[in-house]
Amino acid sequence: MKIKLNLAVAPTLRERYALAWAVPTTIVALAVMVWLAHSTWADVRQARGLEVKLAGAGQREQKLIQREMELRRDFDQPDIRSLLEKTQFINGLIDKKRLSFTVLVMKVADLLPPDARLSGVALARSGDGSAVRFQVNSKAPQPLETFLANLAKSPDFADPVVTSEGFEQPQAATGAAAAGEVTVTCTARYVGPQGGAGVEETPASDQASGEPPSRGSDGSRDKPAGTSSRAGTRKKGGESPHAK
Amino acid sequence: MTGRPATGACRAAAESDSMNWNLLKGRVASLAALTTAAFELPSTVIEVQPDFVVAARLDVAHRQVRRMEMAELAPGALNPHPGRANVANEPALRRALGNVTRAVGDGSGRSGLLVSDGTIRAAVLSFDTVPDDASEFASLVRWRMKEHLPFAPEDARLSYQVSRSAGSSCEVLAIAAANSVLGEYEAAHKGVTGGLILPSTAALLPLLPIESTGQLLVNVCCGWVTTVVVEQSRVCSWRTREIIETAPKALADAVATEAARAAASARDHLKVDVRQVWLCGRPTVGLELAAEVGRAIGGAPRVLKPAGELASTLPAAERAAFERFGAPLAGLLANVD
Repeated sequence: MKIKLNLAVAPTLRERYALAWAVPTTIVALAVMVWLAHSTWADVRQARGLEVKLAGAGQREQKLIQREMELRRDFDQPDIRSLLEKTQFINGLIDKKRLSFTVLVMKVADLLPPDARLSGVALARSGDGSAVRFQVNSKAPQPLETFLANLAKSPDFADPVVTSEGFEQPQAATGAAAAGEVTVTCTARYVGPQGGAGVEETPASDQASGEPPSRGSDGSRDKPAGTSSRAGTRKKGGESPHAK
Repeated sequence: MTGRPATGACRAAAESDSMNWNLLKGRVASLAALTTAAFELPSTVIEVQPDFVVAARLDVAHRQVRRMEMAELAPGALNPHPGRANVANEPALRRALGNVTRAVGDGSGRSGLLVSDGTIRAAVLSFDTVPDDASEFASLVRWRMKEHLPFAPEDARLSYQVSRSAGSSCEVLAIAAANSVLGEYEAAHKGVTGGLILPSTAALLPLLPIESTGQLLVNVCCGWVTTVVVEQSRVCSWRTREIIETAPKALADAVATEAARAAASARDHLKVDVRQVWLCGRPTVGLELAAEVGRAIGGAPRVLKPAGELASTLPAAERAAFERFGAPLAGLLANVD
């Protein structure tokens, strides 16, 4: 007869199917391990490539630093150093030769007495100097004489010369000068302030409206300006010239 | 005012749920621990009897015994009983088990275990109606086995098989053992779990031929005698008792008396006429024992021996051990389809 008895405890699901699941689990685990190894190897190769590139960049940087040091050594040689100093000196002179038209007009306005008015001013650059031509109007000669005296005493101007004088009769028609006024035209050499004015040139829109720009004898361009003292200047970079 | 009672109620509900969950887990675990497996024959089988320990490595596919080893167990090291601790000298049992298992090898790591008949309780139960649900039937069998068990039925590992089925009624051969008792054997030898655990007499049953007349199997081993009446493939009765007599003559008389009582009971109560008596005694069946049993039942008993071809590949010493102790092993191999 056959017996079917057994007092042993039935195996659990884990015990029963552990072996059956072992093979696919092992295969999956091996596949994951292979994938991880492949990924790791790829990352290592990429890291090595980056290290090589980084080393090349470092070498180039070292070369550039070395080149910079060589240039600095060359730059510190006496002949080049003297050339630099000369260049700086000349650049300083150029800065000193800069003329602020607004400052010029303000200086002229300071010379005017109350009864005289500036009807024209022009600037002519010639050589290393600047010649300024004034046209001043007044109803009486006395204010013009005061202006000329002030101009002669002004440290900013030198060698004032009266080039013309005129008296205009009263007319009904409109003219450049007011009716019954004395007009004096004079020139002077602008020596400027001793400290130099680092002001740039005035834009064309701020020039005087009553007189067209003229050229000097050396071909430089004259810079007429209006009589209005509010004629402003525009500095490159937006900085006010008066701040200098 | 309403917050605290609500919180307390929630906490109480949570504790109640937790307790229920733990209780449920405990029940599931206990059920899993007591759910027995179907019959299977591992490649390594160990038999533990009060006087000896046997281990054998089997080739189940070819129905061969590949290795066989026997070791004597110190007297008093094992005291089979269904309701109390069996292992009295665990180091000696472990040592004997270690010796025999090392000799035969562990095989696949799962082992079968044959225990003394005194360790289990067996009964033939009749049912007029059988529930359709298997779990309900198992519960019913467990409930019916309660009167045969000297321990709580909740602690019993139960296994049964239907011997006869007629209409809605059936007859069941059930065996049960205390989980704690079998746990001692399993603890003494790791690897038994998940294999096979049987009393040695159950392993002898496949050796009996299927005959229409009644047969009586008398198994005498290490102070215990079991008588089983079989008719065709039906186990009609199972009775196990301890024999305190140790002298050969007294032992033979006691076994003969028990065999005669079983045969008479089968004839009177079960209406089964025993025509053939099979006698299995280990280590050996003495002439005196066979003569006494034959005289008691009125016919010469046949000694149940393992077939020699099962041990054809064994060395001479192991073959001799197999012939003396290997009858249950031969029965297990005969039970494999």
